[in-house]
Amino acid sequence: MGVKFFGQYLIERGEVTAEQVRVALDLMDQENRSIGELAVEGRLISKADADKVNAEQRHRDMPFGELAVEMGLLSEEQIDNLVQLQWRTRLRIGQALVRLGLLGTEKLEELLVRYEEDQAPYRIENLALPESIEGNALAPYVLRLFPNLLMRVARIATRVGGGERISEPPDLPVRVAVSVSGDSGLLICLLGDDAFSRQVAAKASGLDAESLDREMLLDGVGEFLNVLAGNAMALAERNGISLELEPPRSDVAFESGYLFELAVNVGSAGLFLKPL
Amino acid sequence: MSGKKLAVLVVDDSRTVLAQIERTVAANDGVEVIGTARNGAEAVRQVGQLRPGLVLMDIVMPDVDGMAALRLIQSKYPETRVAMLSSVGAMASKAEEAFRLGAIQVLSKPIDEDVLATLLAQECERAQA
Repeated sequence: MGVKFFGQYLIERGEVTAEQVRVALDLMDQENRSIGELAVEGRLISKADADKVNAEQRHRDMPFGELAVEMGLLSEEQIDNLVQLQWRTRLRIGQALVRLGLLGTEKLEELLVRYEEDQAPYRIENLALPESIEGNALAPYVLRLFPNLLMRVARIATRVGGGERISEPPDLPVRVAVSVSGDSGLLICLLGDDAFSRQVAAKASGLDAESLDREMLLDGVGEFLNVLAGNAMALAERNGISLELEPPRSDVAFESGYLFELAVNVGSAGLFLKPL
Repeated sequence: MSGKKLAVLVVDDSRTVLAQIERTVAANDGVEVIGTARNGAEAVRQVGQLRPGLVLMDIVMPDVDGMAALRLIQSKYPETRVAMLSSVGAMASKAEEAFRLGAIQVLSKPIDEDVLATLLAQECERAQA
């Protein structure tokens, strides 16, 4: 169980090896067109202009599309269309393995069906989404996955209440946050009392709850946030949202954002989200 | 299981995860944890000194992250078998990058102990073949 990508699923099941996945990825590299190449092929910009953007990319660590918009060569709408075209037409890992003769077509279809079944709980259309915040694309996944992962990692049952805009944090002693940067950046902060944090850290580590020092409580809650953010990012990425995760921090300055009340069966806790 | 144990280096910035993995590894007869590291730079040094049979490594870590460490390990000690074990392991972009850099498997978190045990058993078998 858990969110995973198709290549991982195939290796875990022993259908292909990591080396075979690597060969398939090489084939995908050869075949799949970059945004710049698609823009030139679609005659949206000249090869010379695409080269200018590529040259600029050597100095600035920015995606092709963003730079092309900034340089006035393409519109944001054109970039959106190109990203969708790239997504629709790309050679996928399963097809690449078939092309290489490493997997039969029928076998691929059968495995895709099983994979879809395995991943069904995480499909966006199956997510009963709480109210989103400021149109942030990552927040709904975070909120949806939260109860599921808290039960799995910490054996704590929870219900997520509605979000409320706040400027003062609730008075809870353990406060840890992770930052996700990118297309839909989000600060995800979990606040808990001693009982809640102790259970999260104990279950996540397998250590005795009473033996944990404060550093370990912060570490355990931070690791839970890592898992929450990573899984939410994996789902968001399937919809073309590109994101990066930073390691957890316990020294976050509190600013205004959205606090989601948590009805938990161990101690008390709150989930704070702030679009970045 | 007879013969030499599979020597594992565990790399994760979280003490929680180190404890959890050590527990899973301890439950497997043919495997032992010979070292731990809390970031990528430390991991590369430890691989050079300890020459583990398997490295289990996180991706998101402070300073030198897991991808950078994987790249360094594969260029300096190409025979090293590295499996990534990360909360971002389910992201296709991260998993693909890790496989390209030579990872033998990419596991996502929360850790599925059965999947980890299977990986350890396979690596044990491979080491003893």
